[in-house]
Amino acid sequence: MIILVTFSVMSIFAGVLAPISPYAEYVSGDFATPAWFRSVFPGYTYSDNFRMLSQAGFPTEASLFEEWDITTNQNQLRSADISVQYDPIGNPTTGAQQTGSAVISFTRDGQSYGDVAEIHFKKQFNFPYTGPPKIFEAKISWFAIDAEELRQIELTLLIHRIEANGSITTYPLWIKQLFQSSFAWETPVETVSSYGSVKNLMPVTLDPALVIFKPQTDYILDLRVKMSDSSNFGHTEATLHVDDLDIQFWGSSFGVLGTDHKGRDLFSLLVNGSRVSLFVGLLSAFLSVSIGLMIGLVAGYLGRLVDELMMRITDMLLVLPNLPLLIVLIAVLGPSVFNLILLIGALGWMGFARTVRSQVLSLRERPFVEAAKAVGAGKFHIIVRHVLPNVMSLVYVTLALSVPGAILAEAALSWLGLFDPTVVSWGRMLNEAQFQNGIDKPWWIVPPGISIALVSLSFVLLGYALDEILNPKLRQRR
Amino acid sequence: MGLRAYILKRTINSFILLIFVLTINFAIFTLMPGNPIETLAASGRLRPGQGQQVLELWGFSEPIHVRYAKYVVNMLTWNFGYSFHSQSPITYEMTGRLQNTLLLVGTSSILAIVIGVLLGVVAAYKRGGIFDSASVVISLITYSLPSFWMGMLALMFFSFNLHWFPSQGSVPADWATHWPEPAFQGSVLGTQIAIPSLTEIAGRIHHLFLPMMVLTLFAYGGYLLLTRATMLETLSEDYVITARAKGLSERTVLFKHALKNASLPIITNVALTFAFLLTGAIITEQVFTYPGLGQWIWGSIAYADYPVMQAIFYIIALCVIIANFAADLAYGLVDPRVKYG
Repeated sequence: MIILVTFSVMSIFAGVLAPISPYAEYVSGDFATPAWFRSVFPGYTYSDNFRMLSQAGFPTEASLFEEWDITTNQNQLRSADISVQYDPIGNPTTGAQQTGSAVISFTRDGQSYGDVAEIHFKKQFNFPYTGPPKIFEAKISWFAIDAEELRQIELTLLIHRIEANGSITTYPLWIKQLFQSSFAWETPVETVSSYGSVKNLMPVTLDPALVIFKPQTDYILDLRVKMSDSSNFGHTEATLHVDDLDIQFWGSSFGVLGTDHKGRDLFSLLVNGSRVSLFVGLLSAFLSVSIGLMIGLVAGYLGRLVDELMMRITDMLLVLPNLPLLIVLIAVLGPSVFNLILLIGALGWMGFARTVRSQVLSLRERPFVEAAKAVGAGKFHIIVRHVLPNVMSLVYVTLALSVPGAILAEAALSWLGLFDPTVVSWGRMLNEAQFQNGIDKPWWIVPPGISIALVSLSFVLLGYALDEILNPKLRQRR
Repeated sequence: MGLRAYILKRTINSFILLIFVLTINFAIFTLMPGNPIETLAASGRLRPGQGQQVLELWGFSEPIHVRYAKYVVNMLTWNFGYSFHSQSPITYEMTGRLQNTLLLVGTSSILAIVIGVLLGVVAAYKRGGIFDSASVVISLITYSLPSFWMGMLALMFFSFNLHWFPSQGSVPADWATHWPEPAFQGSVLGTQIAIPSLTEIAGRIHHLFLPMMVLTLFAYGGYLLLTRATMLETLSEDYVITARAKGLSERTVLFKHALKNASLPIITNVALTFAFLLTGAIITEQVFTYPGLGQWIWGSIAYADYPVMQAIFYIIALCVIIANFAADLAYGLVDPRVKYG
């Protein structure tokens, strides 16, 4: 009962309990372990989600010049002038609030061309966790003006690891060569992710996140801008706007239950999945019990030909293998929650119809039905007013007892891949665990299965309890 | 009514059931929205105008009663047509898979019966003890857990963590090219016989073990509860007290006197739970990627392979009907006290 209440509350207040949307992908790294694993299994290495900057994109002038270490090779240039300024107008396509950008301007008046200006934007940060991140993503956006006047602009994202002995290991993340001006800010923002293009820059096909990051070490994110002068113009003036420079890490452990193959929060999936499981279970149980009740009442009370016909059909449907029929029907009709409810409900009424019929057969010979007949009551009136109340206790019990069957059927069908693609359910979670490399990850497999089992068990216990309360005469039946 | 009339009645009943199954199977695929040709055309494999041609080729232009008659004849003569996906005859593809499924269901039902009945007898004998309540609770739990979840847990522990058992297939994957030589191959009394080698048997058992275990776990609870209930009834009968008074050993009393009389409902229940086990097998096969009917039906859903689905549903329903018929017969034959009717 407590379990049931817990799950009902869970399904109703799913939105409050799990503030992260079950559909939001990459709230953390994929296949992240639950956060509490780090205290239970300390041998593993874990990391959390982590951002180098609290707000990317140079929101203020101070944030550009104080947080970032900007160096140029101005003293090595013969005739070019290089300067970095702050522009309060940044890339308008990113973020809700307008942030600023850094402006690098290259000017040359003299004739001694051929300078290569080099500007570094560096920021040192500490990676505080004991394990490597699952995924990292570096971001940058740019806007080049009059780039044609230069031979090329080369943008390179580097990451330097400061080793314990003070030496520095450098890894390139991304290189871009610009030969002409942009018409506007490059959109979308260039995203350099560890599972994407960074892999190609690695000497071997290893996961860059594992190669680059060591526990609790200092790193420097470095944007190197090389502007190579050309001889085409006497007076050269080119500017490059840079915005959204940032690096972000997705951890290898997250939340209460970790994440799945798309980095979705498993706890949120579990909580929201309870909605569908309970909804389908309750509604289809209600449907099957009402169909069974109607057929049983009509067949039992009217008797003769109607009874014979209905019971033959019931027997035949009872023999049909239920799950294959459901699979075939849903495969043909298409898996939606509505279809699932309808079909599970429509194929589960046979046993109850027979029970009701046998009850009604004995009820209709009772004196109070005779009396009602004698008064001149119609068949419909007798069924509804005199017979129905006497089988209602049976209805409640069967309702409780057939919910687990429906929940299990829904879970099995979803697990087989016949889930409604628009909603999450426990069966679907297990389906994805089975077919998306989750089979060796207990934090993904165990919770939905336990939830299904607990809900089913609590409905069974509820049914037995109702049976004892409502049918004291039948107590020795079990 | 005599035994012969009883068997006749059951046979007619099964035949009506068969017709009913055939009709439902036909109706599902014929009356439902969506047409295989539309699927084909949408996939871009048909030129416009070719659709009509293909419809005629496959006989979709004929009136529905002609199609139904053809369908019934085909199903009864084991002619299931060709798979949309693999383009090979379904009968040919089905043989191996049906064998695999029946092997899985057969072995696990035998195991489930043996384990369930033995534990049930012991539980009934030690009624109220720790063993009794523990076995009842455990069997209730395994009975109500989703079978696919048990399978996934087994896969996780035994296959991915401990590497004891393979995670998929019914034979090792490299056998596709190097099938082990049979121990004996030749013709005996004019029939071709091949006895598989020990390597082959071992490989098959190695792959069969996990799905069999899961299916057994899934099914034994029912037998345990049933045996316990009927044994409790028979153990309180007078002839058991008589047997004990004669000084027979407890084992003789339990197994010769009590179990023999309690076994009637168990025997009839074996056939009736066959459908239940087949359902379990469909899911278990899918967990362990065991190439049987259940695995096939799932694959055919992915490809919208209607002829395959139709054939599998028919075969499964046929198995269930046969099992029910056998149950009815066994019920009539085993217990002479039963009034046929």
